[in-house]
Amino acid sequence: MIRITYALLFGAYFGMIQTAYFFGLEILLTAAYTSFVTATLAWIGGAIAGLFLPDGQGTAQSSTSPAGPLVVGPLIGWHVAGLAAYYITSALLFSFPYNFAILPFCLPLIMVSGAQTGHFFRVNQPFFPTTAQLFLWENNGFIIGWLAGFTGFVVFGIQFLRFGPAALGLALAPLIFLRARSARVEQKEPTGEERAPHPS
Amino acid sequence: MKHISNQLLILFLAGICLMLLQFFMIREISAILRGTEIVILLVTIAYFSGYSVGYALSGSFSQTGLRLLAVVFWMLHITLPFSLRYFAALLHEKSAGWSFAFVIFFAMFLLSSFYSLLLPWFTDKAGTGDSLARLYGAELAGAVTGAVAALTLGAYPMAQPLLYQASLAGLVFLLWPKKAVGAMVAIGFGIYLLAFQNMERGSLVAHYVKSLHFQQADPLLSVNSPYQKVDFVKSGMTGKTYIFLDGNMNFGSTSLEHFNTFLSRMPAQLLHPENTLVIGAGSLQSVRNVAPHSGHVQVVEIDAAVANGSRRFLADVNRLETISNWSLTIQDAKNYLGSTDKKFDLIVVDVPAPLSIQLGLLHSVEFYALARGRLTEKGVLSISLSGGFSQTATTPKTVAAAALAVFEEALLVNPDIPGRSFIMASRSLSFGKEDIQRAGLNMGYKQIAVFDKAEALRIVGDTAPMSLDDMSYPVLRSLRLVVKRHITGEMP
Repeated sequence: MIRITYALLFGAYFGMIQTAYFFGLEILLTAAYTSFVTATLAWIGGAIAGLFLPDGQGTAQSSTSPAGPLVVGPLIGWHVAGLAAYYITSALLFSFPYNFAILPFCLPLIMVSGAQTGHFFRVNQPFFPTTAQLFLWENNGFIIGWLAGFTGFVVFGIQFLRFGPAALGLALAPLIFLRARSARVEQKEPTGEERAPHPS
Repeated sequence: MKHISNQLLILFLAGICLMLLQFFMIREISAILRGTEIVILLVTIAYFSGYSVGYALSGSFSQTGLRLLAVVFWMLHITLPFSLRYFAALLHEKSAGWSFAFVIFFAMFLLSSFYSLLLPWFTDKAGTGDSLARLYGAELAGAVTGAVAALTLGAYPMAQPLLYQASLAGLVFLLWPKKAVGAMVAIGFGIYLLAFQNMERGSLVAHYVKSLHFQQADPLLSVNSPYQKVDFVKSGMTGKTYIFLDGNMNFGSTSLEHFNTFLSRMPAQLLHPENTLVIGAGSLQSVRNVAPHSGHVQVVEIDAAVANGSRRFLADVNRLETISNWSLTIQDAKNYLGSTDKKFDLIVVDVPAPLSIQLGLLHSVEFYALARGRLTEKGVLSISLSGGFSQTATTPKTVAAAALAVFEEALLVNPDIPGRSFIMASRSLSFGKEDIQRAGLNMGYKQIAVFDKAEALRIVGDTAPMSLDDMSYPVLRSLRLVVKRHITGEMP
């Protein structure tokens, strides 16, 4: 259950922070496609990087190896880095509105947030019976987060961009610890579901 | 049975297809449903829900099943976007609600689901040892390629669908590398290429005749710009050319010509501005209206496709060949106003009604404050209130509330044209009610009600303006429109 909740809520967080990036750029930089596209490409580029960068879990987590212990440090590290990147980008946008000169500084920051998603998939895949389940729950969460981000901006306007991602991001921090603890239990006492032969 | 090889390439092509679908099919579907914020939101959610459908089903297919599914999916998608236009138009004739439900169903189950099925299928079933990082990385790299292609090719009407079909054909062949399959997708692609122009034209005509009630329609241009689907359509009955943006009429009716007269010509005649800024090109008729009375006219338009189409197909309306004192900048209006040092004597905001957040931002307190900062001391901002002004007209009151909150002086103009009213606002207006009424009479309008700021404020009452703290109005208005158009059928 904790696994699914974890994937769902992190999916929601990724959806919300992505929405917040887009609204921030549209309002404070430009609605022109240059900002939307560069943000999209930076996010995806970051996700690719997050898939390949060392995951900090000690043993390589892959579809061909069993789940190792889930180390909290890198998970928290990426979470803090992704959220900090969003707020530094926000600070730049609020401090220098409509100034294209900040775009080159925003792009690597958006990549950092995007990298958290790549890291998320890489680290969590071994803990799910199938990759499909991990992607399914993350995507369901992403849709919820995307809707929450949209609704949050519509109702609370620019205040949502200031507080929304931080509120959800901070709320998720304890879940990382819970997830790591639960992973250790899963390792010691695999349930029937986990004992199901891994596809690879 | 031989394992599927080339997973990386297959997923790379899937990434391209997914991103192209996101750009051109979501636009296409939004235009079929006449895109407003809620329509775009629903279609986008349906599209992303399709990913979940694919993930949920990925474990259900054997290798043969996956290959058969790929062929069926290809057979369906090689008819896009034409079949969807035809089918939605046919259904719309019977019931707008069923047409709406069908299109959303299509977007949810038949658009993205096949592609999202592939990645988990490879990692969970094929088990060839390729890591998730490599496989997912390949799909994401494809998405990057698709995004770049979608944006660079958007101005060419055939390019996005053709690239999509080529990528899908390649994907199907790689999944099932048999000569017969290769020949099938190659022949299919060839037929698609040859039939494209006729199918594109025929399906657009069906959409405009059956869904938008044209007697006869002649599509002149249909492109997916980076922002919206831009259609220029000539009515076979009247010979008039219309602009449709995401399926919503932007220019074409007689009422819209009156609109341009009051929005741009009247304030220009009253002011004789040295520098005029027109935000939003549309038909570019505003240029013709203000240029004879202005020293120089600067037009700022975010979408080059709209400006280029108007130059090409509305030359008889805007007569740009007779005007030399104007220039065009392709840029977001907020960004332009926020970054320019220039001051203007007249700023005309010629943008569509606030049916999306992006358009809502151009009717917000903050945007008008930005415009105020770029006006000279007696400079005037001219805006449309997107409806006739009255105690019960919510949109005009909401737009007026924003302008009245920012400007010291304002005159609200309510002419005898159904569904139209305007505000001319300034720090210090150099003309009064009588000047507007006299100018209106000279233009042939007999009854023009003009309210000063105090009178307008009394009618506006406590109506909240759109602002960066509250963007709910365009979304709620869009929701009401979706209900009227697609559910209750109150509005055609």
